[in-house]
Amino acid sequence: MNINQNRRDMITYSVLLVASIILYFMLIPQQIMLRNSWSGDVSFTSQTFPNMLAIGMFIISSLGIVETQRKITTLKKENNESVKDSTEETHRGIKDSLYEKLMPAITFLICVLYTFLFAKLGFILASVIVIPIMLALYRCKKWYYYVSVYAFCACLYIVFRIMLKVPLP
Amino acid sequence: MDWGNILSAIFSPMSLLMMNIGLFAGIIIGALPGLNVVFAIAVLLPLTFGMDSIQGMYLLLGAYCGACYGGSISAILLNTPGTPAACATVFDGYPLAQKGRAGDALKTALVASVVGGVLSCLSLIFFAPQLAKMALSFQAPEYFALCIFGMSAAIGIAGEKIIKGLLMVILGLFLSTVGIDSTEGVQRFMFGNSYLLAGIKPVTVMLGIFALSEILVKSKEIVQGGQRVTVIKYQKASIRMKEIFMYWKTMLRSSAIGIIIGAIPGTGAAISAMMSYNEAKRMSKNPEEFGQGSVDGVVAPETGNNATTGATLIPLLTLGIPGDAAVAVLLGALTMQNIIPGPSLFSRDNIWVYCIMGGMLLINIFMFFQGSVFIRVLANVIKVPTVILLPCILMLSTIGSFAISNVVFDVSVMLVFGLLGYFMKTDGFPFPPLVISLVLGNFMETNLRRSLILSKGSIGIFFTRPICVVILVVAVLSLIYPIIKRTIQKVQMKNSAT
Repeated sequence: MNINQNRRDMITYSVLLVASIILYFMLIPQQIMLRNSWSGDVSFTSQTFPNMLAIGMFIISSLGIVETQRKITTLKKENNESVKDSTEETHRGIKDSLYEKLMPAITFLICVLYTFLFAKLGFILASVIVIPIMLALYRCKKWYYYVSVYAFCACLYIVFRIMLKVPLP
Repeated sequence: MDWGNILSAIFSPMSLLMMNIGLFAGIIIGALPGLNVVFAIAVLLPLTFGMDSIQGMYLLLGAYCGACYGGSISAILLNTPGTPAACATVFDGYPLAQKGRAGDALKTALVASVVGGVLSCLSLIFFAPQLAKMALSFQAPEYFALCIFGMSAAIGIAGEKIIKGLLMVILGLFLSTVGIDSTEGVQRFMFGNSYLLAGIKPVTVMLGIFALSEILVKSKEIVQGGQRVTVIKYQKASIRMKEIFMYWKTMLRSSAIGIIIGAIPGTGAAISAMMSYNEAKRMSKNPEEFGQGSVDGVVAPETGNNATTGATLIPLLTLGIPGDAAVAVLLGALTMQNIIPGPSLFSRDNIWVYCIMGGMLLINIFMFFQGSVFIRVLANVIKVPTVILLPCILMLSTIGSFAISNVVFDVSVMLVFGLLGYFMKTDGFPFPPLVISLVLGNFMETNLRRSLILSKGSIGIFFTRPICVVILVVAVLSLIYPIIKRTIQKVQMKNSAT
């Protein structure tokens, strides 16, 4: 595991640590209203389990931060790396690297668009509009790929709407 | 026991159809690299909502068995395991194919998978009722301890990533608290959203983190150009059944390994396949042939991985504890069908579980026929370009999420977890602990609460009941064993270096 990955882990653990504090002091008291337990036992309420989990998250995130810091220190000693880690990526063409990095985000936005159109226009129209956008984004030029995906869309419609009688929008 | 009803349920036309559809879909999905057993079950799960529970389970169990076998197809023809369960099949399957015996390798994998699956089903039929009788004596503390064991075993799957595994367990447990508290009727984490009354549905989470995240990961691979791999052409098999069954000792040994591993929560088909392969090599008279295209080297892992399929249902059906992520999805399916796993399933009047066990046996037999007849079609599946798969997965996941409750909110939840799943994958956070704890969360909290009510608030109840103590000790050991093993290895390395 390299230093960059450990730093990402450090950020993740830190975020979770802060999240556990917010959960314990703010979200849990706000979102879970206490009432007298019907069983008469007030030691275990609706907040107890979430509180236990928040405390657990705090402890484990803290352990994660300590462990990751130890790994970073060890790696730095082994590699004699400077604080700012420069990798090969900074020497490649920024355009390609950026496009590759953005592709998951763009794909996610398409998924969001599909969901929005699914709700507003229905399954068929959403699929008709979004599928070619998605395939074009992946630089797909073969017409039979588009036909294959539309055929799958039709099969899905038949299976869910007609056979299983699921009312699609 | 009404055998007439059991047999008529198993052999009804719809049941037979669902078994075969599930098998076919599972084999195809398993054959596609990157799509695994859990994915196969998760995407077919929405199809079961409107079905009879037995037929729905046949569809999913067919997919489960089919995907475990299907991974061998790409392992043999592409040198890439279709599922983690086929990781060991690559070692000898691909070299065997390179020698011009791809058909022999595929046929061997098929027969071995069927044998493993059948023996696993027989173990399920024999052991599950016995364990169910034992489970009758279990009360809330034992069930709580079992939940701890299930989760610690799931963290054990994560290997060295114990901290990440623990965090995923906590996240899963948090998600399980969303909705109405079943004991006090209090709203929790609903943020005024009425769609969260019933909580976050495990199916939407699973579709998000397994299916949608895969779309995001693969979209990057497509743009990066992907790997150009050589697909070995399929040739007709010349090996005879008699020659395959010459390796009956390997089959029996690997089946035993698979059954034991499958019955223990937190393990899985991949571990079984590797252990079976290693044992076969160790016990072989010609170990030097392993890795060069040995038939024995294909028989062992394929028998081992399919031998887990029936055995993983033992803890699921008797105790309600999923053995791995795939079975956790099955547990989600049972919940959707209002089937509560546990000793009550095995009562004399309840034929449901016996239909499932019998159906599982039939599924493995059908797998042999499907594999034999459709092998050419199945071998071509691996050539389907990823660029076609992604929009298909998106459509299937969206409809699947929507079909649960006919609300678009569930699709939004799937999107959120798809994004989360993507970051989890890139940052090395394991999925099984999240899935298992999400499914077990409510059950765990309820039994914890009941235990504390029984003991009037004292946690000593968990340490004074013998079965509970044993389960908790095993749970702790399974959690700390990787740390101990790693420490011992480090010490040994240091000693050998000095």
